[in-house]
Parts: sequence; structure tokens; C-alpha cells
Amino acid sequence: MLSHKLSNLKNLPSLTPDKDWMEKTRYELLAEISAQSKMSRVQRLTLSERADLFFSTALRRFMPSLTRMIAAFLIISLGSGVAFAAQASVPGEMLWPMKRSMEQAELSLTFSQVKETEIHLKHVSTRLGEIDKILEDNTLESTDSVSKEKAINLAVRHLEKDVAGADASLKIVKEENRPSEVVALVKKVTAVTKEVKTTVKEKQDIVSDKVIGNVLKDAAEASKKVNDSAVSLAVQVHEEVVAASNMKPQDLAEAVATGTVSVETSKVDQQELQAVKDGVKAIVENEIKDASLDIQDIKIKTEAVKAEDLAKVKDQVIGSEILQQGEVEKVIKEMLPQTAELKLDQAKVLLQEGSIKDAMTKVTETKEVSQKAEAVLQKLDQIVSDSQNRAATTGVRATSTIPLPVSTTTPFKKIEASGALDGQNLSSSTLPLVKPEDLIKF
Amino acid sequence: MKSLKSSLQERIVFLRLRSGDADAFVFFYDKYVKSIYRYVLIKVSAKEVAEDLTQDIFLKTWQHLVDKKQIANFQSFVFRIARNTVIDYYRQNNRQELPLEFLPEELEQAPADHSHSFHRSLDLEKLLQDLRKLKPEYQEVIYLRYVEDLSIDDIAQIVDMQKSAVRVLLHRALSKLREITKL
Repeated sequence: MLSHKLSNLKNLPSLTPDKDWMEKTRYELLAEISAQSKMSRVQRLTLSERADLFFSTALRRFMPSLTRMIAAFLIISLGSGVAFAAQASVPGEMLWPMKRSMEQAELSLTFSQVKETEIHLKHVSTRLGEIDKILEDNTLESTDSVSKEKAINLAVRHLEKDVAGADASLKIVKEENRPSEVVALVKKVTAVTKEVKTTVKEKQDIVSDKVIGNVLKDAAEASKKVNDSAVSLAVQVHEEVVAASNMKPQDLAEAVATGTVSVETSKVDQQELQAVKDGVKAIVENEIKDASLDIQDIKIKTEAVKAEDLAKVKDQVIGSEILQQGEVEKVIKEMLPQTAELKLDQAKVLLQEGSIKDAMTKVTETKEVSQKAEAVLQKLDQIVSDSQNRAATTGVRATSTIPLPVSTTTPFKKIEASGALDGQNLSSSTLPLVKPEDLIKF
Repeated sequence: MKSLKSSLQERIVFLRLRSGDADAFVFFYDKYVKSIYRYVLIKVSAKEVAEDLTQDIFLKTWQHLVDKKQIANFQSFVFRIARNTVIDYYRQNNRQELPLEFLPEELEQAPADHSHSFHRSLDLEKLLQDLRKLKPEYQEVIYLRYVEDLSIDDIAQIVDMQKSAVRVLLHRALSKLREITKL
């Protein structure tokens, strides 16, 4: 206490010299000193003193950087602690942007496009994990469904970005790397997009919230597009490789010069040709399997559509606006063996024969059909549930029970698909949406 | 506590000063003028005398440097010169005590609206007066240790005593000051 007070004496104004006096004295002293040093030569530093001066100066130069180094070390060690914590974060949390920027840094640190694609794929799985986490987090359930929606929205939007990033870098890989590498990478991409698809499907089954369901649907669509584009890329590579292997050396050189065949493709030997063929074949086989699973799925759903539901739809004006009864019938018809399944069988045969491109076209056609069918079925589902809702609320005039219109969610930027599927519109997006005002009219 | 960087800077300037660098001297002047002035003022209690003596002290320091005197530490060196200068001053003036009355006068001039800082500075003025009641040796060690934050080592160099003696002196001075402040 006393010592503290004593040290405060320093600040006592009566013990502080005048500023003017200090200035004046400094000036006087300097004048005196320079006069003196002119008269008598100032001593020279001894050798050891000069060395001391030099090293002290050098050390001082080093000093700030030393502190900076310590500071940098601290920041890094602190940062890594936070970074570690950030790894466990999900969208909507404070540390999540940091996790995201660390992922960006990871991307910018890679120089190989193959690696970049793989990192993109890794991030896709991270996003899936996050979506999983958010949906399973029951603490948010009832109180914070809006923030949950937001978080899912964010995760899905970034998932789409990651998937698109994988797609984009895959295309660069195709230009720069060996065909066998491309095919291997396409396999990885398709594996991840399938994972997205199945995860999203699982989630859609659990999630009752309409908004989240729609968001998840967007995610599935995005990854599907990338899947298609990757597969078509693989098919394209295969075509090129096969074409190049059939060319005469002279023609091949010309093709390389004109740019129709890439340099890497021209160097393909027999062994690699076989590897590419096998790889692409496996990919297309997978696609066929996938498509047939889709068809099975839709078949089950169509069978589940009850006749009474169909009748309901028929009765209602809005119902008919959205969905013509004929459409449902058409769906059922298309799911018959002579249409979709027949196409798939054709694809299988074509694949066996080796014409991978034609097989893939058949698969794509089948997929289009099943997509359309699924969209129609979903609409039907919606109408049925809406009419049930309405039945439950008639007389009460409570509008709150009517689900939020889908249009309130911001539409996601669709990922541009490449290759053969460019510009292909998904049928679901062409269907009109049910507006709550229309529902209230009843 | 002085940071490593600032002590290193002081070392560099000190070496420059040894080679007769006037700028280096200005650096030391700016750094120590307040401390020296305070030290002198506590001892002589008159502003004008303290100003004259402080100027004297810095000039003497410069001359010592030019006269190739070996100096290890500028701070203890300049305080030592200050101490000797004050002693010389008292010797010449035959221990003529300066009137203490001018201090209360200054207090009256202090602005009344800043009541808190006013009371605080009143408190400190009281402490300063108590400090001045101590023997000069006591005043000195307390000032150097607690106001200027010097180490026992540095104080021992300035007052030209053993470190243990400085400790004892400091202890006695502090208990005496406590005794006075309680009165």
C-alpha cells in the first residue's frame, strides 16, 4: 500500500518538471556539448566496444522478429486448438466458417488436380456428416426449427458447392492427366455421389419438416447431376481412347495437333486401354444397377397408390391443375417392363457388346423416366396429404396448420452439369407448386 | 521491470554516447530528466534550485563521458552524479534548508472541481511532506527503490554501500515512514 503510494509520487504534478524548462535545458545542453566536442576530440571506441555495439545493433534488428516469431508461434498453437474445435462444428455454429476456410486453404495448398478432386470429395463427405449431425441434434428440435433449417440450408448449399467443385476439377483432370487416372477418379466421384443420394434418401424418410425435405431434395439433385456428368465424362474418355487406339499413327498425330484428341490420350497403350475399358464398364454397370433400383422403388410406390387417392385427386380442382390423372396412369404404364425395364435390359446387352456409349444413353433415358415418375408420385403424395390436412381443419379456419409454401425457401443455384446431360431440366422443377391461398379457398 | 528490448536499446545508445554521439545524449536526457529532477526536488525542495542542479548534473555526466571515465550503467551513473551534486550544493550553502511553505501554496492553486484527483494529490503531497521529514539517507533509498523502481544492486552503486547495508537502510526507512504517516 505504502510502496504503491510512493510509486504514485512519480505522477505528482509538483514533482514534474516544466515542459518548457525541459525543452530549453535540452537545447542548452546540446549547444554546450557540441561546443565542447568541437574543442576536444571525442574518444574513440575501443575494439571490444565497437564489437559490442555491432552485435547489439544486430541483435536488436533480430529482436522484433524474435517477438514476432513467438507471437506467430502462439497464434499457430492457439489457432490449432481452435481449429481442432472447429473440425467438430456444424453450419450455423460460430467456428464453422473457420472450418470452411481451412478447407479452402487445404484446396489452395494442392497443386495436382487429382488431389483437388479428392479433397472436394472429402469435403462432400464432411458436409454429409454435418447434415447428419444437425438432423440428429434433438436439442434444436422443437424450439429452434428455423435455425435448424438454416443450418441444413447452409450445409446443403456448401455440399452443392463441393460437389460442383469436384465436378469442375474432374474436367480439368481429364484434360491434363492419363485416361486411366480419370476413370479411377470418376469411380470415386460416383461412389461419393451415390453416398449423397442414399444419405439424403434416408434423411428424407426421417425428416417430417417440409422445408428441410425440399432442401435435401436439392442436395440429391445436385449430386445426381454431378454423378451424371462424371459418368458421361468417363464414357467420353473411353470413346476417345478407343478411337485413338483404332487410329493409324499418322492420323493420331493429326488429331492431337487439331486438338480433337488430347496428348495424354494419344499415349495410351494396350494395357491402359484395357484398364480404361474395364473401369468405364464397371461405372456404367453401377449406373444400370442404380437405375434398376430406382425403378424398383418407383414400382413399389406406384403399387401403393390407392385407387381412392386417385379418385380424390380426380375430384379436386386444384388436384387436376397440378396433376392430370392421366399422368399417374402414364407413370404406372412406363414402369412396366416393356418401357423402362426394357430399356435397361437393352443397356445391359449393349454393355456386354462393348458399345458403352449406347448403353449409357439407354441408362440416361431410363433415369429420365424414373425421375419423372418420382416427381409425379411426390406431387400425388402432397395432394393427398394436403387434402387430409384440409379435411382436418375444415370449420376451424385455422390457416396455421397448412404447411409452409415451398416457395419461401430460396431456390438453390443449380449446378451446371456437363457433357451429354447439359441443360437437361428436371421434371420436378417444371411442376407448379401448391400455394396456401389456393388451399384456403376451399 | 524493464523489457529486454528497451534495455538493449539503452545499451546501444549508451555505446553511441561513449563515442560522443550528441543524439545519444539527447536520448538519455529525455529518458532520465524527469527522474533526476524529481530526485533533486525531493532533496532541495525548491523548483528553481532543482532546475539548475538538474542541468548541472547532465552537463557533468557528459563531461565524465568525454573524460573517458568508465561507466557500466548509465542510470546508476547519472543518479550517482545527481547525488554528489546535491551533496555539493548543501555543502556550499551550508545545509541551508529551503522553506517548505511554498508547497501548500501550490496546493491551493490546484483546481477544486476535480475533487477526486485533488484529494488524491493532496494525499500524495502529504506523503511527500512525510518523506521529506525523514533523514536524507532514508529519503534517498525510499525514493530510488519505490518511486524510481531501481534494484537494490543499482541503489548500492549509487549510494556507494554494500547491498546488505542498503537493504537494512531501506527497511529502517520504510518503518520510519510508516510511523510518520500514521501520526
